[in-house]
Amino acid sequence: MILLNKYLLLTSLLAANLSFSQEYLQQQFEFAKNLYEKENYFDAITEYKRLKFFDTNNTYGSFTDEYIAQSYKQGGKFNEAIHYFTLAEINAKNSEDIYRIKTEIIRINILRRTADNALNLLDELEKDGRWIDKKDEINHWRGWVYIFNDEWDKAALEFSKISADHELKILCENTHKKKYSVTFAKVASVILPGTGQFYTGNYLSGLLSLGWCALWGYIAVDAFIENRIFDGLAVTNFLWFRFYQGNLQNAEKFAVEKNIQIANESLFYLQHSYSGLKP
Amino acid sequence: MKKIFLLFFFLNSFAHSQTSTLHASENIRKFADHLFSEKDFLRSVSEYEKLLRIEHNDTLEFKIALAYQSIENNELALEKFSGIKYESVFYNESEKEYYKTLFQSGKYEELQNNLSKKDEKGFQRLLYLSYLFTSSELPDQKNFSEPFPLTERENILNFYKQKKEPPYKSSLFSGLMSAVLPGSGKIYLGEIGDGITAFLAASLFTFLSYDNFSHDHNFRGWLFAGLGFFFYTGNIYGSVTAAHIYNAKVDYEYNANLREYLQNKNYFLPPNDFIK
Repeated sequence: MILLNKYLLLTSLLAANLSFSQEYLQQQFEFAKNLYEKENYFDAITEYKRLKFFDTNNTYGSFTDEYIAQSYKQGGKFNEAIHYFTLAEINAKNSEDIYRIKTEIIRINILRRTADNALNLLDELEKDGRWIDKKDEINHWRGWVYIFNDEWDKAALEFSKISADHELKILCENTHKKKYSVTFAKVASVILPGTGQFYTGNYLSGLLSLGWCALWGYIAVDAFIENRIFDGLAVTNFLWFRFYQGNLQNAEKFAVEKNIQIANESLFYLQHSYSGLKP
Repeated sequence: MKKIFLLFFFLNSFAHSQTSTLHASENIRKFADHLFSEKDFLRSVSEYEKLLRIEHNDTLEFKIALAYQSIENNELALEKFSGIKYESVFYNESEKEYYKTLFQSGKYEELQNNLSKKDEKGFQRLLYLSYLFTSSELPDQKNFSEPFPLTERENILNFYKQKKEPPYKSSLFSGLMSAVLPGSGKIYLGEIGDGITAFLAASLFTFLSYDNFSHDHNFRGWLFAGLGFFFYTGNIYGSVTAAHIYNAKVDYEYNANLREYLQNKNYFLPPNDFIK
């Protein structure tokens, strides 16, 4: 009887000890969470790492890794964030958690513009039977991949799979329509030097290109007419062709610059005014 | 029975008050060491500093200095290494790490002033290596290689020779060559394609100018003469500039290769037990 009492006492003391340490871990978790909520991400990472280090039973495993990853993400440390999200995925307990963490990894890939990785991960999610009901969300993130990859037409197509009048579909379509055709700008300048620059609104540059090409073209033709073939060839090759080629490069450069400007305006709107889910 | 209960109660309460909290000194130390070994140096420093507020510990001071050195915060690393007292067991190591940090941060003159009177081989090696980065006069070849291990002497002497006689090209000579024969300065610098193009352009415009003048097309004659002159002077200027760029490239490659070599060899200093 005395022996039994001793065992009971020992067991209860051990149990008390365990619950005591659990309490400390819980307090630490709350402390770290508080720092995270106050956006003190550097200290939040330290405290979550402390929790992870002392949580020998891995009670908080997935949560800790996820919060560390989120803190790194907020600090722009995307590689570290992906490392901890991957650890969180390994420790995740159910398919909902796995899906959420996988989505977070995709969102970071979108932010750091590793589009191929993001698209591969989205394809994997789509093929996985566990998340058959998440089609819209998968299309949503695929659309964002294309936005960050400057493929607004493809992005519009992905958002249209969610709904025909999706806000992002309309935005992407409008952005795509506003953009200048680089090919058209170049072809126009091939036919008549300076036209590509006019198309993108760079009138002075267009006039200068036209003027230079006309001047050297005239001198070259004049030389050929007067049978000074070598002069003609030299002027054509070294002067007229140089300005003609410069005109083509200019037309392309202006179209690309304008497109960047248009895309940036849309991205600015998405960053500051769009209230839906963002990477 | 009562004794057992009391013993457990005492041990339990003692343990909880002293070490069970995750922020107790012993646990901070364990956690900081873990961060240090994970190479999360900045966080490990802030944990070690918490402990130093409680009591003085030269191991922690040394590890803080090493952490700053690892994240290349050289100013703080130097401050922390120099703060290790003479009585500490880490004094000798911190002295070496101090000079290594001076070397890493490019404070070669300060390093040379400090090391010129020290006889120890490790310091002598650092001193000689610092000469490879400055314009100070190099010791003679035999003395220079003497403190280094036999297996490394050939590499060290290669850098020594490159420092003593860098394979520079003369910008004056390059410019003069291009003035005499357009493009030849560029060819001298190894830019053969550019040299031939410059020669052809200058010759062509000279010919076009001559041809137009001889056919009484004076306007075009002057136009091509102007263009020819522009190409000719541009080529001379380009040859001089290209020589400067060539020499800057020689310096850059020499410094980058030497720095990489020395980092791989840990500056010929014994490795530290804390960071391997």
